[in-house]
Amino acid sequence: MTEHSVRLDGVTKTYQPGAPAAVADVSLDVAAGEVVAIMGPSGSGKSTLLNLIAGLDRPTTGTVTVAGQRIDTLGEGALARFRARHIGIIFQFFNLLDDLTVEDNVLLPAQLAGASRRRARALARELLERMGIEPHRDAYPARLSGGQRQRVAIARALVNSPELLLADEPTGALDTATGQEIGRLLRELNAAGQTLVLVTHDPALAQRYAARTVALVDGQVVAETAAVPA
Amino acid sequence: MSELHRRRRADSRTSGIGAVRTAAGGVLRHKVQAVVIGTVLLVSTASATLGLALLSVTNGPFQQAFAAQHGADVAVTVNTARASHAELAATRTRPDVTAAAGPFPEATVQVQLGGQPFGQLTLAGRPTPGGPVDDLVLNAGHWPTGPGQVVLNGFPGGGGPVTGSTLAVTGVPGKPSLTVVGFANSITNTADGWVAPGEITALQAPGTPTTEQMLYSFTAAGSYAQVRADVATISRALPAGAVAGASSWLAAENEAAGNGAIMEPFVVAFALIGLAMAVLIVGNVVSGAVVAGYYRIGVLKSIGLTPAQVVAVYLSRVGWPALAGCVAGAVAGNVLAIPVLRNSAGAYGVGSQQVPWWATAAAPAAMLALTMLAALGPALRAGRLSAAEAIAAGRAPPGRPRVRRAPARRAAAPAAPGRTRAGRAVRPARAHHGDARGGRVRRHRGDLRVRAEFLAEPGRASPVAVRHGPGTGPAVRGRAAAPGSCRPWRRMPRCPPRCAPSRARGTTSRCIPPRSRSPASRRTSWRGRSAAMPRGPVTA
Repeated sequence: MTEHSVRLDGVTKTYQPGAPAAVADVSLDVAAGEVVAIMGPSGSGKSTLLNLIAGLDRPTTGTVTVAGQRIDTLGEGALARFRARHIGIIFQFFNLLDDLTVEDNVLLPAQLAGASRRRARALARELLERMGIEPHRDAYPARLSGGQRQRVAIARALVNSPELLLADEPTGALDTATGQEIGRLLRELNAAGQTLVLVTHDPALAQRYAARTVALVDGQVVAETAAVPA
Repeated sequence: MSELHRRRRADSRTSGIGAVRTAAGGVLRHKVQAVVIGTVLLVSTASATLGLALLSVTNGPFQQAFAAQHGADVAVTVNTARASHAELAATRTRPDVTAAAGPFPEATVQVQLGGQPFGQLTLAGRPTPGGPVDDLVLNAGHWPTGPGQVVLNGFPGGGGPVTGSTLAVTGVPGKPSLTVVGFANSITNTADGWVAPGEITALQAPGTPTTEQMLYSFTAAGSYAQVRADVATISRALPAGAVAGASSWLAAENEAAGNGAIMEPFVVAFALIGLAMAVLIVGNVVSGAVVAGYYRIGVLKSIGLTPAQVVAVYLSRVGWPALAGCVAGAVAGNVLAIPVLRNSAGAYGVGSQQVPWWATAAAPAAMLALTMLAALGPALRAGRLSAAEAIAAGRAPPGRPRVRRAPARRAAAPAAPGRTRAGRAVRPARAHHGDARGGRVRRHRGDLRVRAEFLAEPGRASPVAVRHGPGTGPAVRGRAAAPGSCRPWRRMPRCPPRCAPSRARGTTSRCIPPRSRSPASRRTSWRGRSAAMPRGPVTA
């Protein structure tokens, strides 16, 4: 039996009673080590779905299970602790904390997961080096380029070695070359066994990096396609 | 133990303090915010300290001063020709006398100031200002140290004598003069001035009886009847005709009440306004500082901060500068109170007024507590929001969009899609909020300005949106949703009831945003709006 990193069962998210659902009755499994791209036009519910998987939002109905834990029933505190340990999130616009240095941005989730500051710093430096931005560790994010910021965001997402990495339009705010660089980085991570759920509406990105593509329209899964190996 | 249990236990061991310290970022990383909060707390605490002090001193200023200065219930003037010192001393031990001071030699003299009559003064010869009854407060200068010196009852200035002024005593052989060396206050006005005891003899007019002053506190002197009974008791204890006169504390209280009644409403109003302003300013600034951090709070939550940690982060961020401001404010309030209370004491006719210790403690404590409460409310609200909601709320606070015209040069300035000057993402906006009268509508929402122009080009089926935002990327110009795909908020195919034919030239449809939508749905609706404005990669 395949071990599922993510399992969604009949997940619906409605923001207002009576309003159309942002995500409607979606069921989805993501196996460990798999890269799944969620695609769809703007407003199709991709980011909402990602937020639900990340526990950043709660489903109206249905269950969300991540790394063997049902997260839709967890309280805010437990959910935050779970997220700190098991889920890494990469946002389109990085969502770095501008008043913290690059290093502090990366080590903060490690501290939240229980690492001492020294251990967290060591982990952060290791990751920053791996991402090629170690020289900027004392810089503030505002001084970095978009690509560098996204690398910091990836390092932050990976610092706790999460079972699941979620990426919401990871190349959306980057130029083409930098976007390709980040794409390669994500592929390397997957090659090392990292489970990845990628939200994009760039078919090329999905085709290039994802093993499976889930197409959403109006909050509903309309197609699931496996990528043809290049 | 199952794997799940092991995970849960590991989860519960998450480090709190270190992460909170890191996430708070330290005061030095938020210098401006720290300085603003510290300054606001300093001013507010100083104002509150002063306000509390004023409220305190207006609450029975005479009674407070009377208690502090051991005011005399009765001052009795005794003719020394009729009563001996031993007889006077015997009155001290009467059962209804709780304390007594004197006898002090006394003389009533006519004086001139600068050659002009200054009136009649009752002078008492006292070696020191202190004593068990009528403990004088020296407001200025020093106590007489030798002949020719006088300390007057009251405060210097106000057109009257000041320290160093000379008073000429008339009607006395040799026309002695007295130099004003200080000012003191007797809460019960037992004399108009005080000289060295040996000076009184030289100030006695020839032929006038020599008198001495005895000051008493009684077990019961709360009413005129009791005071009269007390005076009668003393009179009976002395030979007949020995008591030449008596004055009670009730007369002094009446006089002080008359003075204070004019002042009190103003002082109380000032104190209350000071307190209210302090509370309002602190509440506003501190809660504003937390609300401004909603985006950051959302990010913190998304990387794993619990609601309690979020609250701790924001309390610590405002707490340290607030604490520093409170301490400095308490000191400043006390310093500021010195001249204010000196004037207040003069106006109330009491010797001196001080900031009560409890005001010095209560004002900073209350301000700090208020700061914590003001921060706690928004921090708790932010903690309860889901991370996605907090980020959305922090990016574009709900509210009525402000209309702002952008200069043409800024309209042409390059702007990255969905980016602001601060480098944050902003909500994409749809272009179809057109004005049916064919005009243009500019909307401002957070950092984003959107100009929806219904370009009047025949055959052009849809409005064009131009996003203006300071940034580094190119300006984005996009075609809005085609009429057939009109989507008021989220659902592309389901909006016809909300779409109406546009009267703008060249346009065929417009979508009317429903006004009754809840904030929650508005938070999501911007995503739908982005469909009207094709640009680079956008979020779903």
